[in-house]
Amino acid sequence: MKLANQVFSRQILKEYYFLYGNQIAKHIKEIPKREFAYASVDRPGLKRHLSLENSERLCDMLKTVSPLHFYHSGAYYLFPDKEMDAKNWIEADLIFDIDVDHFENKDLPNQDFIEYCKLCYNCFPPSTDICIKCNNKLKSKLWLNQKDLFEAKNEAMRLTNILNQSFGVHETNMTLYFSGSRGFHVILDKNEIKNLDQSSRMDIVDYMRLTGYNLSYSEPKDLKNILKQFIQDDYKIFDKKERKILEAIKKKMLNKDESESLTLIQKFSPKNRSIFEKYIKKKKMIEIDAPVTSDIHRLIRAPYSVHGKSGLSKIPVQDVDLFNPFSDPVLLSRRKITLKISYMPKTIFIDNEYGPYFNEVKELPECFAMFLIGRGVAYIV
Amino acid sequence: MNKQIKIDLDWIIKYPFTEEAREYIRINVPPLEEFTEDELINIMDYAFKKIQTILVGHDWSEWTKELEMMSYPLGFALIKATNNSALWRSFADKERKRIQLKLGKEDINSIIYIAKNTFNLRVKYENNSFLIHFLDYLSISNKFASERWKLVNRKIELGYVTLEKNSVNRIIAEYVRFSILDKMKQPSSFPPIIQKYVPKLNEYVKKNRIIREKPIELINSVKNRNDLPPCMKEIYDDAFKGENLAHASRFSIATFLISSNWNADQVQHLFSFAPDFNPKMTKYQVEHLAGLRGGRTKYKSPSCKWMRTFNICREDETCKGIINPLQWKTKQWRTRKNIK
Repeated sequence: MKLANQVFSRQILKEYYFLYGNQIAKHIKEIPKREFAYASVDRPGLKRHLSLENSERLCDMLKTVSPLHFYHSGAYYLFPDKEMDAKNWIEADLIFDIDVDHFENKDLPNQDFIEYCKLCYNCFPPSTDICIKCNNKLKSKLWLNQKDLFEAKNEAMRLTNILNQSFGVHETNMTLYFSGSRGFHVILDKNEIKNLDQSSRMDIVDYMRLTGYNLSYSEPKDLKNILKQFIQDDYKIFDKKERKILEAIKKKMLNKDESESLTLIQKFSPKNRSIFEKYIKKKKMIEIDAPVTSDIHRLIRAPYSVHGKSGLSKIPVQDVDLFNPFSDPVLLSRRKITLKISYMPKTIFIDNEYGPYFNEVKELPECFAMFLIGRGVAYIV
Repeated sequence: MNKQIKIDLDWIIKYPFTEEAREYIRINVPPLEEFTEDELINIMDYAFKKIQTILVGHDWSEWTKELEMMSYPLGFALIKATNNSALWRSFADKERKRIQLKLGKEDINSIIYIAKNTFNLRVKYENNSFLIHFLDYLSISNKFASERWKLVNRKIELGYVTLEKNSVNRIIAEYVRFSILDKMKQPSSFPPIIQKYVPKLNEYVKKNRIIREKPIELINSVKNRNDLPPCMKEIYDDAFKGENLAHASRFSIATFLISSNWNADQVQHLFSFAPDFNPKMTKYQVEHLAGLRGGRTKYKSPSCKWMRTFNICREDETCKGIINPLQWKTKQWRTRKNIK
């Protein structure tokens, strides 16, 4: 990070943690049993294995360090400050992470990209191939936009719905957070759930992601809807060979009722069965990030801390329908500051439209400046 | 107590692990020191005969109900006193099978009664199906290799998994197995009469080859590519091709090879083809996994289930019946030698 950006980031984060330190401490349960970790503005790497006695110590540390990223363990330990093997694991929250970067089966057609140079870090509009300054081949980088986050929001709603309907978890026993960047976290911290071992957590991951789903053992998930969807589908996300098989299955299924279709499915050849399973998986899986849920030692961004790559805060989401990810989690200062923008596509931030900007000096709110610095496309002048 | 359940001596003999049976035995079987030597020898002989019969997999028919009831704690203590965990497992498994058979003949109320009263399981019966809470289900089902038991292949609603009678019986029987193994592991002392029978039982176990001796050398050696299961073979080949391996692939191949007696240098060499190879970092990480650094814990090779979750399982017909890639080579050896 450029020095001017470092100075600015440190300043704005110091102010933020002074104001919101208490809020963070209030939202982390059983502080003495957690491992804490942070990344600072001016030093690369993560400082791990920290233990804090109580909320006062946590607030003091935040005010002193003003971290760029701040994490706590989902796990509760007897000795959180020791090395992994000596921590003595007691239990762990059950964490789900929905991140658009890890979506495998969702069509995200409206993504914005920017091109950037690995040598000089300058950014360019999508059509550019070569860096004007160093003649280097440019790399594409995904831009964070509202449309993607809308998809993540839908996925998070599907997840909470399954937790409620299938697993019987009451809404009051799970907390939905905006992650501060490209998705959402759902955290379950009821006593019994916290005791789940890694193997059971993997089974829950597999249930959500439909890994190991086998039509020989179970009926298609949500049969009525999947059949309706299947008949109307154009199978665009499948390759040519698979599409042909799916079209043939569709022909057989036309004008058949639910039970007739089910009988047909049960008589599928192994090949057809496997393609139909794949179809159900693509349509019905919940795109959770598997390692996050199955890892019982995972570090997770602390609630109300700032995501250093977006300047947005990780906050609990009360009403998903009304939640605006480019406005509600903006808790940093809105004073104005001047900065030079290498390139950014059009972006709506706190209900204002900015850009596209290419090689321009602009006066922008500090919160948005932090967003652009975090995305690596601007620096303070 | 549930009025519809008849708890009598037959019940006690059938289900000696239940709360009622343990209480009944505690009240009705006097402490060992109160028996005369002749009485004790007779019951002990009976218990020994029963254990011998069960361990070789034959059916046991009781002589008298009283003898059966009184001999149970003695037989249990005898197995425990051998301090042989393989024998404990063998006995627990035989008991698991016996219980499953018995439960198959029980009515719905009795099954629910045992599940609830003995193991605190949240089980109910609605619309002609058994329902078990997913947390109780998972704590057992995730030990099974078959995909049929995976949560994804079960119907689950409002926290309850729908099961047919056979499956719910299997779950309860597994709880019995685990509770037997738990009790075996608890420390205790044994009276001389039990100690006297331990060498006899050990000899019997050896003579009848009740415990399978594992070819340790075979499990722990990967000499060439053909010794690798399909999942590891793919990662191994990708590593030599210089592909950029995902974290899960690196972790699994490294721990697998370390468990197969490869040393840290050999494993490090495998990663040297990676495009982002950093000798210092790789050495540190491999040595950490091998238990040569940090907390000195040697990391275990992940299970087949773990490999499936991370989408790096490459299961084929050679993998049938194994739950960890480390078992693959032994399985091939057993198949070749036609050993079950």
